[in-house]
Amino acid sequence: MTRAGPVLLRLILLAVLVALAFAPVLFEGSRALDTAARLCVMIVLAASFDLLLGYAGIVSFAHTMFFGMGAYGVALASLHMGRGPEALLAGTAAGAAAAAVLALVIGLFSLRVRAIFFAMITLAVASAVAVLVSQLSTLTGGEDGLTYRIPRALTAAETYGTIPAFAVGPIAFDGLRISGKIANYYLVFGCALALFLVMLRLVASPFGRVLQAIRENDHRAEAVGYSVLRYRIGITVISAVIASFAGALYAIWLRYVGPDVTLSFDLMIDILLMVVIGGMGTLYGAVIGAVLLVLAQTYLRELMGPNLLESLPPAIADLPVLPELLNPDRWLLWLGVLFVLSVYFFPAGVVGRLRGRRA
Amino acid sequence: MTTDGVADPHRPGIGARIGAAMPWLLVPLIAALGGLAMVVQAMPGPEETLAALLRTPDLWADRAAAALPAIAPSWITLTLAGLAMGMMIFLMASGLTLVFGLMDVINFGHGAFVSLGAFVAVSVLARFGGWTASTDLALNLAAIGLAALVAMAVAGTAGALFERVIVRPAGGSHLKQILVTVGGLIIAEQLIHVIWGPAEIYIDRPAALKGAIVFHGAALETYRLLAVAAGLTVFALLALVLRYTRIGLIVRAGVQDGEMVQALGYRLRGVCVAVFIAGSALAGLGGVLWALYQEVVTAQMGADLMVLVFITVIIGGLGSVTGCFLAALMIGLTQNYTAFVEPKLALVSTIAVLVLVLLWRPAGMLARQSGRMS
Amino acid sequence: MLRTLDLAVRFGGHRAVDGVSCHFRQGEVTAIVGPNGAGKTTLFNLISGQVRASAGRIELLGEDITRLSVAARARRGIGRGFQQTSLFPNLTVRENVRLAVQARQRKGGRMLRRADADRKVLAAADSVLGQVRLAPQQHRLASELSHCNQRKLDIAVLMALEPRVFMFDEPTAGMSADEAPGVLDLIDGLRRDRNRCVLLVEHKLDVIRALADRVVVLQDGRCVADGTPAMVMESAAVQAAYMGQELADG
Repeated sequence: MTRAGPVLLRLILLAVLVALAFAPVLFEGSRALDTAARLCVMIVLAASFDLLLGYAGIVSFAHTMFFGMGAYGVALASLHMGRGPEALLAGTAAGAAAAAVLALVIGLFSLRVRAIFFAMITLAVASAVAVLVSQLSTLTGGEDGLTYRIPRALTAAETYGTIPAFAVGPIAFDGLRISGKIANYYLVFGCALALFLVMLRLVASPFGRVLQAIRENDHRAEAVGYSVLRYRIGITVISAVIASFAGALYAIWLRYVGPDVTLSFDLMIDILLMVVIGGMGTLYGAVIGAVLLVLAQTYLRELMGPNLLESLPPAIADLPVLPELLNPDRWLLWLGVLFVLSVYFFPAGVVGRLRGRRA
Repeated sequence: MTTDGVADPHRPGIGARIGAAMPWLLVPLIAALGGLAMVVQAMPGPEETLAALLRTPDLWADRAAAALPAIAPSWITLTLAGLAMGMMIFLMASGLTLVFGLMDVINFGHGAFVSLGAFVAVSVLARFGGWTASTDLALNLAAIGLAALVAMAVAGTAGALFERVIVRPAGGSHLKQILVTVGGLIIAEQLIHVIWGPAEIYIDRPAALKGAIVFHGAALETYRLLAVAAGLTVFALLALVLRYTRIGLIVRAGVQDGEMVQALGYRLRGVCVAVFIAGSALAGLGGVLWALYQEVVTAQMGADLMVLVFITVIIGGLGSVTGCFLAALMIGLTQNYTAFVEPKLALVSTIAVLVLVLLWRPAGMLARQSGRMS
Repeated sequence: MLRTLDLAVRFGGHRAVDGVSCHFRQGEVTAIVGPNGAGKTTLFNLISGQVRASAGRIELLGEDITRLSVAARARRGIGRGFQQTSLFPNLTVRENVRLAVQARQRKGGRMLRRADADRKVLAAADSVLGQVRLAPQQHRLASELSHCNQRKLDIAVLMALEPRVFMFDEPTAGMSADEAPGVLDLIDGLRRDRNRCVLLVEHKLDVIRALADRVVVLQDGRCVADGTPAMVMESAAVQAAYMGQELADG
């Protein structure tokens, strides 16, 4: 179940792990490091969503809300407690506690009657919270969000040492100052890796197996003696807490939180796309989906950018709608199509394809 | 016969009768509560806090009497606004709840038809600029009527396509339905961008529908009256069709027990498709009215409105048109009173209503009580 | 062991089960028979909790379980099989049984240990798979099994639960003549264990003769006869009930 499967899939996952582990050395520039950190966070966020969607068969639209709770927890604690590590810990803990309580309440309310209520109620609650956050500007900074200071040890101002430049054969290395920013990156990477490993263990545990049984046939699971409601609420809470941890990491990395980066419906759609296109119920699918989407969002525009439109033959460029369909701003259209096709034809997504087996 | 004091269902006691009437009583109750909240808010005099006033009960009667005439016109205006909003939400929600009741399909892409209807109406109204610029009410209504008809036709056609391409292949799995209909929503929003461009579009309400009638000092916007009339008409038509026509009978029976109807030989599939198309067309109509109400359209407007629509169908009870109607009015009223008293809490207040209703009836106000056999 | 007292349930105005009082003793195989719509499956649903009773009570070993959830009843020893085979289709045969063992051993809440590292659970699962002769197919998905093997797996899941009360709803439905005996042997094997009680909804008279110690006849939701197979088959009430059914079936 949790084996990564065939060679190609393992190689891809290994490549992602190596690239992320050595990102500060392998890629130059702060933008690449930003992308790598964002990727670490998104992998955790998407994987924790997969716990719900792929393993328990529950659709939630409030995952970004829990993500935002972790992020705002760190931001508010850093603003009000000062720039110490204890602020980061307290903020993370408070965000996680709030996420757990809210997830429990939503779960009790909506899963008790009909599992289908859950999708609708999470959508409503998440919208209400997003509106509230953008309006309670004295507390949350409103639409502008909050900027705050984190411990100096995690910022570019701190220097821990340097790796000297060297050249071995054709490989030349320019040298690297090991700054607090890099320490910050490894904090994010280390925590993300740990959380991912915890999730891998969770889905292979007796608890994780019961979730899969419930997804397959909840009546039977109940008749065998598993209280379906308790397990569903349990995974809802766990998934919310992990999402809040991901949010806390993102807040520590960005030193900024705002509704658009943590709470928006667009981000929720991104997570859905990552998990479904990568492959539901595999966790590794979340990795692959997150890599595809984050890289595409960061680099696709400049790769295909305006060149593509200019390179169209005039016969096509003069057609009324077609050029607009190929506009890079409309890439979500094609992702949407890919998403629907994935649900129908490759429910195990890219990972399922690589494993060469039906889900 | 039962022996442990279970009331005979054929002779409901007074409690059961109040319980049955309660969904209908909740709408005026919310209107009254809204008025009460407005009066309480208006009670403190200058230099006086509400908290201080609340500690001196002997002042209450005087202050309330003083606040009442000042607040009454606003209350009337807001009540009309709330009813108008509720009617528009009802239009968008009715199709969703019927489709669920009949086909057990939950359509997260329903909002796409709202947006589509709105954009189509914008295009139609732009063609008939002369009719909308005229101050002749009849010409204005003709323009809106025409726009509404075209929008409903387009939304209905899109609904037929959506049902065939997106919904039907998903089968009975709710998980798949939610996922593919969200995917359909993304695609639909992007296609609207492709056709109408990425920017929001501002439109003007037809000239004769811009003003308001003054009634006992309260301003009643003409357009809101129109929206209420449209909503009531659709509700009445739906109720009549469901009650007195053959297709209505099949739909009602199908909501009760789909397998039974199929066993009796009715082609439920065709009825389902028809209901889906009608629901999409109604959502398109809701979109037209909403667009003229807000005087701006965006591709996301449908998805944004779905939040209120979902709250409405859950409160009403999935599958119940009457429940949906009452819930929509409750939501519209609650939103408008709260927006007046404490604007930040408008959306949160509707969720509070949802929570209270679910505490009272866990499956919604008028949901079919589930005592089904496995 | 299991007792129902004036058990009744209404669907709308229809009384599907209407005042059934029965005592099912341990070590006994009870067949529940009756024409279609007599309330047999509904009685099963009431006992295992899928349907809540409108009136009356259900006791297991003296404990009132009328208001308990399905899962709580299962944990107390009600093992329910279904007429429509109900499995975890996209999990392996072994995983289906393993999940049942895991439920009996109350290990479903463990989150940080690997499920496949628990030898006690795996050994119990393998033993059951051996008994029902599904060991060769244990790594296939449940949905890939033949109908007959799916029913066997259904029984294996029940056996893995080691319930106090086994409930089989037409265990041989849809099976060919040479497939049915294998399944019936499995049920017959359960009789040797005198601590259990077996409830069987069954139409086929030969199955009832071969397996049942006692027959309860339901008609229109009421218990119209109760006794040994020989006694009950003779009685006029059963004749009437069964004649009715044969006419309906024909």
